[in-house]
Amino acid sequence: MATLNESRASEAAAAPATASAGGEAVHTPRRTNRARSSSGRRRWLGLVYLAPALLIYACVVLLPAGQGVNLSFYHWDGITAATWAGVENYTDFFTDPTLRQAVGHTLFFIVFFSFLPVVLGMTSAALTARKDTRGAGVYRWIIFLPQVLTPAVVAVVWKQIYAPDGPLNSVLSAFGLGGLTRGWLGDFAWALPALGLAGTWGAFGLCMVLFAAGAQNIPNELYDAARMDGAGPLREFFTVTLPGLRGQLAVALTLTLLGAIRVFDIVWLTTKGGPGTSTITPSVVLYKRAFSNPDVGAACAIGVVLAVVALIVSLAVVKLSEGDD
Amino acid sequence: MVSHRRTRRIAGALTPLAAAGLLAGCMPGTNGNSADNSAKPGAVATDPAAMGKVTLHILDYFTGDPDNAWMKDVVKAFEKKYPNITIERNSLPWDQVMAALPLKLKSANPPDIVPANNGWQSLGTLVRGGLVLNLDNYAKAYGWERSFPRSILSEHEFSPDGKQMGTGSMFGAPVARASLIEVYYNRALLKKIGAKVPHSYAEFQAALAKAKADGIAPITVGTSDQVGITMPLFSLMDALGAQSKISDFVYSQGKVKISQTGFPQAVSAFKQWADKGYLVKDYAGTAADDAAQSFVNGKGLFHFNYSGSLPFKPGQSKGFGSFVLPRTDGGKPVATASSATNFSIASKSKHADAAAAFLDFAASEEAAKLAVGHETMPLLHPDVQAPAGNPLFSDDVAIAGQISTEGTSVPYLDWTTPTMLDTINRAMQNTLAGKSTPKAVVDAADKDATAFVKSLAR
Repeated sequence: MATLNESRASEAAAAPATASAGGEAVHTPRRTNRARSSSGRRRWLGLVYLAPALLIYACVVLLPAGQGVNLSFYHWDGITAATWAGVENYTDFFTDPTLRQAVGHTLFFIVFFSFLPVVLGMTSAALTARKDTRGAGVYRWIIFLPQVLTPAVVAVVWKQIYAPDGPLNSVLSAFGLGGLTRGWLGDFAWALPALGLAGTWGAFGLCMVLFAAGAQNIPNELYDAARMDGAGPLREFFTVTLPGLRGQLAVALTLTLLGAIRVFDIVWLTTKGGPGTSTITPSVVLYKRAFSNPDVGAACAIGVVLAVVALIVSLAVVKLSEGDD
Repeated sequence: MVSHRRTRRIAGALTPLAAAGLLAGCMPGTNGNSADNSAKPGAVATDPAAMGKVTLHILDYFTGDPDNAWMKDVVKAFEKKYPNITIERNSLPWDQVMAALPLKLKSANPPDIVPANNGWQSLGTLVRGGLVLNLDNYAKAYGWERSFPRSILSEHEFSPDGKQMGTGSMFGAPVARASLIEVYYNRALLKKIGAKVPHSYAEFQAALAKAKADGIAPITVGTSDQVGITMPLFSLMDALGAQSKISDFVYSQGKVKISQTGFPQAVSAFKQWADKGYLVKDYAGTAADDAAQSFVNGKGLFHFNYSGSLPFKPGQSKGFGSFVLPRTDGGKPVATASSATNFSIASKSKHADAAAAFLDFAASEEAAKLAVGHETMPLLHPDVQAPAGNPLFSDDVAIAGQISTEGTSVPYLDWTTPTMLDTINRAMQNTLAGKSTPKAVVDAADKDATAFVKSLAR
């Protein structure tokens, strides 16, 4: 975000400079030559400074990414000679029912991994924005805790919570709701929402901390002014808090949306995509194709599509958050 | 203007990516694998003492005990016998071994001995890529063809062109330790319902009904992580189908259909157990490991699992016993069984003779005795006796002996195709939950097998 704004500012600054240089060029071509060559030299110097980082980036990111794109046009078991597949691995997204279902689950997970945490985080930040709640730090610490835990640990914890003799069922039985108890992760209807809620729990803390930090930067005068104008808490939220948090909102949305698109660990460690295929996600399909049933090309195609979708989503979020700047 | 520039900038960012794609744009997997899998003519050396100083590198997946303890002892015994040979082991978890094997075998200095898994998922692909050695010369020299049961030998065989499994040349060898699917029972609960160890399929069904009537969970099983399904399912298939048809289905590539194997009957029988309430309550929401733990804790009469894989505390196994599910036709019990690992030799190994000598030793009676010493099921040597004082292990050793003498083992059904395990697990979860009919499981497995046969021809 910040970098984008900065670079745009530098572009704006550069534009008149070139214009004036062009204007002068008519009269004194010698000077522009020198100016161009010095700015060219500076550009090359910049590249030289960047070279070590770029080289490493090219080796560990760009080259493998290119290989991935290349592989996605082949059928390959990882060992024997590959055969050309054309776009077959990509049309799988339309023809393979499992993959189609996985994409559907991603949309479902976006609600639980992204929208719910953002809404909840925004609400809790708004509630604590102005009042100094007693023990706010402790609450924040507790809500932020999931961010500190390793995903594998989170998965094991939720597996226990949802187990047939786990805490969730115990609580339900204690309240006389024994009829509702079930093995949550083995239930075709409930496994997906159950994992979704675990995701909400995981992302909520991050959103709340981001928004709470952002809310502290909103000048109190704005709230005072809004109150002077007779705004209620709701109006106050929409006219002061929400616009003030636009930057944080973009960050939170980008992070959580990307998280939702590549959900893997919690699914793999709890249900492996089951029961049946009721919790399968594109990343799980990718992993299975890449490592357990060697079909490397198909796995790469999924990876490429996920990367492109992630790129589009983050660009869209950035674009939206810049709004009418 | 700005948006123009931005697109240009994005294009600029993507250019190196495209360039990298072009750089990487050679066809994958063609680096000189015109697999020559024939056995080289000429004699092979079989006297390790005369091989000079050799260091053998072995990759295995024996990270936990008793696997690791057994392997350590075998290596120690081999090195003691042949001091000129040093062995360096590298143990990695199963998943890592399977993911890394192709790369390791393609490297200039691969491990000499690798644990490629039987079936199409691993060994078959490696054979097709020409990455593992044809062991026929060694099999002849050491007499493996005579001393190993036919049903075990087949599990390590492929045709040299890598198009057929269960026939042709040996591309791996078994070790003297078994891994097979068996039924465990809780002695106290069996006594409580007044039943004896079932010797017929009908007796087994009767015990299930009795346990259910007495309020005891007849079968402890957990399917939520897609692990616990195939153990009861394959056991049922072995009890209801014909041994030769099951092996033929796995090996024949489409000539024998899955509908001929007893698999359809097994799916229906499994579903009936579920419908009658013979499976422990909430099995669908329980993970396989948790189910095994709760069986060890005394919840449930029977439990299907691999040999030696229950989490007993020392002394705890006394309360349990094991048997192979009896056949409906009263014939000799058939078990889904294999060597605890397949050991193959890398094509690029510089010490193939020494490696083969180690394989022969790992399959020897001495190795089987070491297995029994660590209370893990032996294979290939039916005469090896169990130590006294562990009745469950005595049962295990008896089963292993029976399987070796009678040759009544069948390969794992999921070796048929790389995706079969996944297909069966998913379809079976659907059926157990009443989302589809048992026929849907059979159809899914059949479709999977047909698709793979087609891809083999490609």
